[in-house]
Amino acid sequence: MAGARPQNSATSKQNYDLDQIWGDLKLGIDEVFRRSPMSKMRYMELYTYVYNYCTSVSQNSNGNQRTSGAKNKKSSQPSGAQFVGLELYKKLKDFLKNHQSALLEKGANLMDEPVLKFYTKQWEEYQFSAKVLNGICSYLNRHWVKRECEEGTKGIYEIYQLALVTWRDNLFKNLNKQVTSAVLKFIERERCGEPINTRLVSSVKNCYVELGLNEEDPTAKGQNLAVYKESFENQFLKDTERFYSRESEEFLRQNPVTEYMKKAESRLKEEERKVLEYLHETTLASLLKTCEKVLIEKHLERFDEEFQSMLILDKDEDLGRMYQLVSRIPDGLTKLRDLLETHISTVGLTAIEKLGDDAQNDPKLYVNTILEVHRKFNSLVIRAFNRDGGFVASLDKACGKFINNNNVTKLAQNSNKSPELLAKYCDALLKKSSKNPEDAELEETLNQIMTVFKYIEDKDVFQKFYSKMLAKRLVQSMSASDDAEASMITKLKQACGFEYTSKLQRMFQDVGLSKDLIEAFRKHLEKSESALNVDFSIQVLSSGSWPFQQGCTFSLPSVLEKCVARFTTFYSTMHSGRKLNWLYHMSKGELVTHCFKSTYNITASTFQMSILLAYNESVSWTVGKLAVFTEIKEEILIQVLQILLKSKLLKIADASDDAMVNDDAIKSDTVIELFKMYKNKKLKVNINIPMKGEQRQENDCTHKHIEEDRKMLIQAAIVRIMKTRKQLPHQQLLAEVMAMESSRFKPKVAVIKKCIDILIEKEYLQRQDGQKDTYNYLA
Amino acid sequence: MGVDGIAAFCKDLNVEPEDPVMLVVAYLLNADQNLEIKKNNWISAWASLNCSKIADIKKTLPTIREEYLGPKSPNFKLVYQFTFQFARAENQKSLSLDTAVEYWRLLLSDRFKYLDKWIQFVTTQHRKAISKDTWNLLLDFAETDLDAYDTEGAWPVLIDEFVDYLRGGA
Repeated sequence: MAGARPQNSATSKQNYDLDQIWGDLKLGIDEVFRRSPMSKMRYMELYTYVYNYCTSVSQNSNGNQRTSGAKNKKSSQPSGAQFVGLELYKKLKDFLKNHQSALLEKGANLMDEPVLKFYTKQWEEYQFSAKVLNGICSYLNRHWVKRECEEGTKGIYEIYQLALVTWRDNLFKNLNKQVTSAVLKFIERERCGEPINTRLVSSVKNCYVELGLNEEDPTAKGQNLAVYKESFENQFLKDTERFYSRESEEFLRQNPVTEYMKKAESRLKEEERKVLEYLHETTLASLLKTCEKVLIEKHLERFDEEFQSMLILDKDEDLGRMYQLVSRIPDGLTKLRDLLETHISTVGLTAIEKLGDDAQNDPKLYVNTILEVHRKFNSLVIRAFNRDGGFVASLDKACGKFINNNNVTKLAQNSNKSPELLAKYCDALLKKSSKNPEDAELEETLNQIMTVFKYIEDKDVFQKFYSKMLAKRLVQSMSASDDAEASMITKLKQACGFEYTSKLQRMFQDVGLSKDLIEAFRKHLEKSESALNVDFSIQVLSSGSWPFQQGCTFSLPSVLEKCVARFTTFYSTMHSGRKLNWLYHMSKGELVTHCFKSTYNITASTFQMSILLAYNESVSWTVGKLAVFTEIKEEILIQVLQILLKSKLLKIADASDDAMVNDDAIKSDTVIELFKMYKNKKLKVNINIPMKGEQRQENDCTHKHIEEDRKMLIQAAIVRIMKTRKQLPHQQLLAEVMAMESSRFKPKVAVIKKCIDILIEKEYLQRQDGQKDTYNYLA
Repeated sequence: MGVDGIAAFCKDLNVEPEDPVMLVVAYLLNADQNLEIKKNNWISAWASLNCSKIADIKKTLPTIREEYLGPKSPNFKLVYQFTFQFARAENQKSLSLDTAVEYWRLLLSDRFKYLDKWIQFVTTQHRKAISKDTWNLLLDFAETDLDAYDTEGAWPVLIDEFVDYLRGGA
């Protein structure tokens, strides 16, 4: 008001005394801080005060500082200018201090919400005012303050920052505890469900962040969160920890884990939102960590327990939630994975045990049970556990366990039962039958079989059985669909490599070639003069690829002999140097009967045919004479006769027509005659059924072959390994052999040891002198 | 020198032909299966033991006995292993069971506490000839503790089966 009107002339050389201007300047600053509206004129007035003040003294001295005055530090500063800037600076500082002390008095006794309101309001106003002040003093900032900073004087800041610093030292220091605890109380209230004024909290946050300036380098830009962290965040985190520990303990005491998980989940979401709303973003990471620690990690044991029962009760959604929560904790999932693995094996084993003895003879049931278990847990892993690698591994391990070692294999006392049943199931699917599934369905089922196949340890067993059954199917033309067969072989190739399926491919090729051969043979017959009176077709198989054995002694009925002879000549003209071995025990033919009431068309195996054709010569034969006539060995003859007797084409002489056939009733001197009263509803009869004894024999044979093949493989592997290593301790040798053969089958230690013994005998290996556990390779 | 010579030799030494010490002698003399001893071997062997007369030999016998057959002697292994090829018939890789049993009784009675069980096992369950590997390692087995036996270790299969048999298994 009464201040002298400043003379705004730049050229005037008046010495502006600080006290003179200070009066009005102070009033002006008061106005600013009181937030009274200020006109532009007034603002300029104040600005000019500062300006004049700063520049005035410089006129006193050397006088060349009036120019832009930025970085003029070289020349010796007249101490006068410094001094003056400093004076003003000090005055400003004092002013601010007083202002703040006044405020402090007002707010010192406030707590909770009032203190928050007070603080935030004051702070916001203060901030604004400080900015204005900063603007007013910008000349001072630009020159004097800058110079001081460059010279390294401590404690001199730009006015705005000075305002902050003084606020911090005066107001903040004294009030912050109350403010912080008020904020924390607020947050707790919010956690308990009360809505709060989040704006208050976020302004407090902003304030703290602002206050964190870098004292070393006041011109450094960017936020410094030291104050925020110290005064607020640390406590906040502690508080959070305390709050949630308490809450989670209590909740768990009164509620089941499933409910707790839901609550935990929602809490975590809440906290995240909080950060977005009114906390600093850097807090998010530590906040979540704290919460996770308290909400989840502390209770991991309870979780683990609950996991088990959730698995049993198939609570998929809850399992998924638990996975989400526990996956936040590092290494939290390990226990869960193990639990899952154990659970799956148990379920698998029980499922198979429930099948009981039936499973051994019903491949479809067995395989489907396995698939069911696998499917269920596979979908669980995908849905609830997010296809997590660790859980997929647990599933695989568990399936491997229960597929290869379960009740069925125990009953059969042979771990090869699993792959055998799998192969039998394939056979059932691919064989022509009255209920063949559609192509797409078949494809799907085959894919599922491959899933189980993946887990089988003894893949070579599967291969043996599969190739045996495939051979039978091909030879008897019983494949349901060539495409399906081919697709299955491709799948096996993909799973196991080319070597595994090369023989199977060869078999296919042979069948194709044979078809061409028959065509050629027929043409040849047409061209030649003598025709065969018999409709005759053959299949030529390359002996290396097919799993058939040599037949036994046999003399072909003369009718057929001609055919055989003709074909043999024909073939040798086509491929000289190849030898044909006839497998009569796999061949079959059709007979037409003229001796019964109706004309029957009988499909019979070659052995059966030759026996029946014998009855063309005489109606009654003794077994012994039959044996001589057909040149079939008696044991086999008897078995064939049994089937013929069962089919009622023949009967034992002097026995009643309906007599049951006893296995041991047939001896060399039993007389067997044609049953003239033979009747059958169907005109086409097939008596070519496999002999039971034969089947069992075959099975055992196959198993023996597998064992022998394995022995060979193991020996070859041992020799290979020892050749490279020259010397190897026993345990390592075992480990390497196992690793080498693991893709085909899992070698047993006992078998490997036997092979080692054999090789020592054969002098491929020897024990190291003095170290009986180490072997040396003998070239 | 042939079989009769050996017999006479034994008499001179006052030793039974079945005495294990004769095995040691055979070993030292590098006698082959049929107790054929070459003259050179004879001379050099006895010379290395500083014996030039029968009386000397008699005197050194106890030392030999101690050195090769004593319970702690490391040379026993050599004699034992030598016995395998000494005892087997010509043209055969393995030792016939009966001969093996005899020699086992001769050599291992004091060392192998399961000897009787072993012989029982081998004559009832195995019934085949004994391979060199099994023979050699039986001595090792006799010296190992049964509880420390590891079936997955580097033992021959027959000894594994024997341990099973002992433990009440197969």
